[in-house]
Amino acid sequence: MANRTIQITVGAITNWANNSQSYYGLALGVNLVYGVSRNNYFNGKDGRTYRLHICRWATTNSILVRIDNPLILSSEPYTSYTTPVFDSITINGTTFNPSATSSGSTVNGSALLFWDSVSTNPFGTTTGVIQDITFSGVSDGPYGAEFSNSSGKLMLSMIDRVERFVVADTTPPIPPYGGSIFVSVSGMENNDSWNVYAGVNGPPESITRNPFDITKSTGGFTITNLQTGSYLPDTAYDYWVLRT
Amino acid sequence: MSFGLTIENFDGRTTLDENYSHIYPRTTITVNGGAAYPGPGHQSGDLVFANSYNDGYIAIGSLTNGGAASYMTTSEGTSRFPDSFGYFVYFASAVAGNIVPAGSGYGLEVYDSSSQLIYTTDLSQTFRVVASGSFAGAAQNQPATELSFPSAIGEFEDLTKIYVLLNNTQHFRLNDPVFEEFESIIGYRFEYTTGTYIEPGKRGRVHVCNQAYWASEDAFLGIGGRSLDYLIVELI
Repeated sequence: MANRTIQITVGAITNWANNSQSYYGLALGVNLVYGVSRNNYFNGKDGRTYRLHICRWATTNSILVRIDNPLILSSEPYTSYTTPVFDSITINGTTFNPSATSSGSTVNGSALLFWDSVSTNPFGTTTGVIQDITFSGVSDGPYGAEFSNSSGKLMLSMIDRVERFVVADTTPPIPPYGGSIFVSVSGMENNDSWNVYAGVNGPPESITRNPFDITKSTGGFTITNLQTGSYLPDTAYDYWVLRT
Repeated sequence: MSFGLTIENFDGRTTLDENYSHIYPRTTITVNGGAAYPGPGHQSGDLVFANSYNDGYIAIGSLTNGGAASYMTTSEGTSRFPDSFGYFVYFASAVAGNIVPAGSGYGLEVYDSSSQLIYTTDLSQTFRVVASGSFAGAAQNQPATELSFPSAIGEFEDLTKIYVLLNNTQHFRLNDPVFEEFESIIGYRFEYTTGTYIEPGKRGRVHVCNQAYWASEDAFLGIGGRSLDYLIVELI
């Protein structure tokens, strides 16, 4: 067993129009969305991978933790997702035990756990600050690699998707009426991990006057100049090939 | 692959290997609509990421037909696609050639087979992808549509950290008395949430646009031209 710390950026909704309550922490919908988490997954004691959907304090003096897993059923008691999943949860230094939940519920895909009579907001009221939420007694993982910089900011997380630089260049001028050129890119495939971004090399003009097409293929891509108007210069295109 | 380093995210996408350089937000400028594109500090081959810090459209435009490129502006008259008060812009490059290896300290550095630094943890900022894809817009002469992010019901918690790729965008406006008024945009629209209950001005959404206004129809319609390969990132 281990600890799993989820880093969040605290968000808030204050004086919500529906009930005049205020909320601080992390919530990913459906009704309210506030706070940010780069990687909010953890593996519970029961071996399942959960996503932290909500962790917030409300001015009703309650803490709500909502965790998601597609195998959670509304017919199950919420207590199936307290001590069987984690030993404790610590929010910015304040620890809450699953055996001390005040109430809870389940819906298909989620379990909701409440701790009442929590008069102190463990998140504080300053939004935009980074805070830690630590589940103790959980399993290692999920597997992957994460890197932080020397300030402790998570720079690359397990759930991030990034674009990486392959090449940037400019084509020779291509004649209109379907003129084309094949640009060779080593290793390129026609799938969504290869992205080609291109624009006209030169001043912007009417879109109807400089349409072009990009076709990805094995080993490169083809740019086709589809201009058919009366003003028909050859056109060069700037392109950037990225991988994700 | 028979050797080297590959790290995948939970979705099976490669986030780090020994082949391709991460994208590095090298320098930033703040510009107003109409400023020369791309602006000071730009290097050849840079990716240009922009954030509109108020409601408004963003794309590469031109003050005159065929004139020099600029950050889009309404200075040609009453624009059908209003620009913002201004834009935050990052010029982004490959790490290779732009970051000097630390040489000491701790952290992780990855080099490619040419001994070029392609990843380092020694950065203060980076980008992660929020969304990418291709958007054709509505069919020609059909009512315009937009592609919205995060979704129809969601919002970004802090829209000021969301940047869009400008390099392949385009804004064009023709308002000549001889011809009809025509204005088109292949670009983006920033929409900040208005309201009084949560940090007004930070939450919001981004919309991908590929449409035009025709005065003769008095309507916003699909272009039926090229698709926009959009890229939306979050500054971390």
